[in-house]
Amino acid sequence: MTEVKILIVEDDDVLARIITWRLTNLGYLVCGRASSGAEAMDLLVREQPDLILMDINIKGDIDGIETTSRIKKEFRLPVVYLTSHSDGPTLERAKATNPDGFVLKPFKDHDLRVAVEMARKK
Amino acid sequence: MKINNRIIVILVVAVFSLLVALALISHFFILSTFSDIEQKQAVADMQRVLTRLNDEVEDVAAICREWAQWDDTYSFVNDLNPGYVRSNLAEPSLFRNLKINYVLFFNSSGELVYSRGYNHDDGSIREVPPGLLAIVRDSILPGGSAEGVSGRRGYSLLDGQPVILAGYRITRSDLQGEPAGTLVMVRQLDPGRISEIAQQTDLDIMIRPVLPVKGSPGAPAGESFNGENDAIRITTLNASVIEADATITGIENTPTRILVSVQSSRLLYQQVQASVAYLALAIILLALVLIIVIRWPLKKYIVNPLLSLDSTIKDIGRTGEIFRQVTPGGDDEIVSLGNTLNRMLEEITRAQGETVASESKFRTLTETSLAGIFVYRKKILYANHAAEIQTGYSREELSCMDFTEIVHPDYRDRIRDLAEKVLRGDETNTNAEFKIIRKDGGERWIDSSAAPFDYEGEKALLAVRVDITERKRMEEALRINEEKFRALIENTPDIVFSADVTGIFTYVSPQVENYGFCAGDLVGKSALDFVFPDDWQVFGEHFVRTLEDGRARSTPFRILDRDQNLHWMEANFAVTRDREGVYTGLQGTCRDITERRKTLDAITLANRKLNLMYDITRHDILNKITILFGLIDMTHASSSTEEREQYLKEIGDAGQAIWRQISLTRDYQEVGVKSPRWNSVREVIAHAIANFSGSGVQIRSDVGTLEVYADPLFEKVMYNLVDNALRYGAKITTISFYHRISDKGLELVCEDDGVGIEAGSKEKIFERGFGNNTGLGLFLTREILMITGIAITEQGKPGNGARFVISLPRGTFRFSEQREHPDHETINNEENNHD
Repeated sequence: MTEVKILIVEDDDVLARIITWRLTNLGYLVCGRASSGAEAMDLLVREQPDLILMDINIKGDIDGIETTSRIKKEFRLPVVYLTSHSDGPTLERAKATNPDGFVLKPFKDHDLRVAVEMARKK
Repeated sequence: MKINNRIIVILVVAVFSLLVALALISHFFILSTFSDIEQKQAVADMQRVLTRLNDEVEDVAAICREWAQWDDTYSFVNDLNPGYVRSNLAEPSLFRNLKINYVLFFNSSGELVYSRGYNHDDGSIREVPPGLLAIVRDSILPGGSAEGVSGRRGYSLLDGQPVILAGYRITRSDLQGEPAGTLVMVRQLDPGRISEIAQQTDLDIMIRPVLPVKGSPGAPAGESFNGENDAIRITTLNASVIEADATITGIENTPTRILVSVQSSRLLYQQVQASVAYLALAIILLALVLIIVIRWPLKKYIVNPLLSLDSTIKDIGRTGEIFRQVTPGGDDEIVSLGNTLNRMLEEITRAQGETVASESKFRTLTETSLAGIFVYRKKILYANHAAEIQTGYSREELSCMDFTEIVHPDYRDRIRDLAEKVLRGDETNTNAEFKIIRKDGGERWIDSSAAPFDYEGEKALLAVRVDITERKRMEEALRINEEKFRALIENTPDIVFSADVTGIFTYVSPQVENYGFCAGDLVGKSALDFVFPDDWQVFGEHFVRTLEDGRARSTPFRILDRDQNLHWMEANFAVTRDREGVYTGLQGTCRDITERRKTLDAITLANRKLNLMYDITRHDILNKITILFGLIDMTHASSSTEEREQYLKEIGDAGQAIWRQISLTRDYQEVGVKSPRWNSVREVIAHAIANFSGSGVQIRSDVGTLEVYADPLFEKVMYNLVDNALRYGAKITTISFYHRISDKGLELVCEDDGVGIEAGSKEKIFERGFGNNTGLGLFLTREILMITGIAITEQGKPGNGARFVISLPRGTFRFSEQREHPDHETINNEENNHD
């Protein structure tokens, strides 16, 4: 089976390490971790992941939703949001970018695997 | 006066006027002309007489000259030959024929050598009177001259009688040799001679001496005459005689003056007078005839038809049968007059019919009128049925009453004066409101208007009186209500206003003065002038839509007061209509909702901030829980003791973070819950820094009585600023609070002497998550201040300490009137530093 390369966009170091640990345990290849939108775009070009796990609140001038919008336009890659936001406006903004899945915090391995697989099947 | 008599009087007056005109014309023109002619004739007669007298003088002179040139006379003077006397001087008839009365011979020595006088009346010889010699020596032989003045001739008076003298030198007939003397001949103009001259001239002549100057000594008796020589004076002696007078001068060196008068009868003048009299008489007679002759046809053709018309008209007037017609015959002006009278009678008949109808209408109107109608002078002459109801008196009772009797005593004099003025025409405004007293004693308010008119031949007043008692009651009630309404308007905190359909204020209540405007000044101005320009469109749209659909509306808007402070107002207005339902404008109230608006805005913003904070908090906690779950799973999966200890430590850190987040939530749970309020900066700082009493840093407060309108968590702001300074200031020793004036209002400054903020972080420090602690302190500080529109920035120089500047726009700060605090207040003193 071909390994699935996943790029993690998360500004919290500890959380990024936990996500990496969980994805690795699930058999996915974490090809990189970015803390901001600009860093994510750089890694995207360099690592060419199969899927991106995107936190909405990240460092930098653009948030995760804006970064996803750019990725969708330029690379047409599946993006799964990692978010603790459940308020209407944020979710509406996120949905407008046609994401490939949502993973609501807090999450477990199963939540991650379902979201990734669902995104890959699209 | 009868027409007949008038005609006679007119004719008599005409004749009299004619006679007067005739008299005036005859006096000033005809008789005057004839008088002039008469006087000219008298002058001509006088000149004829004077010529005749002059002929007499020349006649005497011719006789004398002839005799003086005789040789016999020459000889006689020398020798006094008696024969000469006998042949020439002895015969009186000769001298009578020559009409010479005296002859005097003077020799060459001037001595009288012979003289003789002749009385022609009786034919006797007489002596020469001495007076004649005196005349001769004063004229022909003047000053004793021996030779005399030859050829001298003229008049003189001898014993009061006029005489003619002439003297010539006696010479030979051939005029050779020396003159022998002087011959003087005298003709006496006695009455007989004058009578002869009168007969010859057919004039009545008188010759008399003249007194040159009346009363002069030695003057001879005679007429006085002041005229010049040869001047002719005309005198009308009486109606039948006119006299012309002239003087002739004597021959003497000292001449006498002789008056010649010619009297003429005034026949022509008298004839003209008689002719004028005859003409006047003829005019009188003619007038009498005319009066007699003209009167008959006048009577037949004019007077009698007129009398007939008069009789008919009188008959119609007496019987009142105006429908009758006069019946003149013919086609002259009297017939035309009759026809005109007939038309007038027809017109009167028609008018009378209309008058009757009009009077009937008047009666009907007055009797059905709800207003009391009175006709009165002093007494009431007429009152309608409504007047009976109005006053409670019957018409019979009213007709016996003075019109002021029913007027209330308080108004009686004024109404009486007004009625008199209206009757005299001195007053045109006849409206009056007054009270009357009814028969039953009740008082009623009356609105009366009166006008003068002719009633039964005399001027009277027609008054229409309307009972306005109910209206007065309503007006009083209205006045009371208006007072209540006005008190309500003026005591309510809201501004009450009304405007016309163009938005021009027609009324603004005095509450507007709270904003520095004068209520009276706003009336007449556009309501938009009152509205803050940014809100013109919204306000205008509401205004127009209300006028379009008539629905009451409420709209918030802002105004700038005189001090340029912005106030939020809420206008509630509705349309006003006239009786026909047409919109006349808007009226409503304006309530100052600045405080409410601030509160609402603050609460809205606070809720948003609170939600944001909850969202952030929840997000952060969920992140930490996610970390917790992950670390737990990782701990379970790990077999390494070191790893597990590391994971457990991280689990503890995550739990700690969750606790801080929850603590933060507790601290800020009041954000937006309570309304913003005025916070005393000094007290807030004092409370906030009480938590840092052991910090060892000196905190100075120089904020006076400044108060800031902010969320109650304003104290947390002050706390965060001090906490931030202490946490990151490093070398900090002093924190100062003070205020300063800025362009937009006031600035509250928190300044320290620590390491300051790096240039690149001046704005990031207000972002969530910045810093080593929760990352929310300054973020929430800015959010709290923004609730009431207050901004905060960091403006310090890196290395010289931080300076947080809180910008307070107008309306968010004030200085209380409480007692002044010390200008500089050190909160943490040295003693505290050691605690």
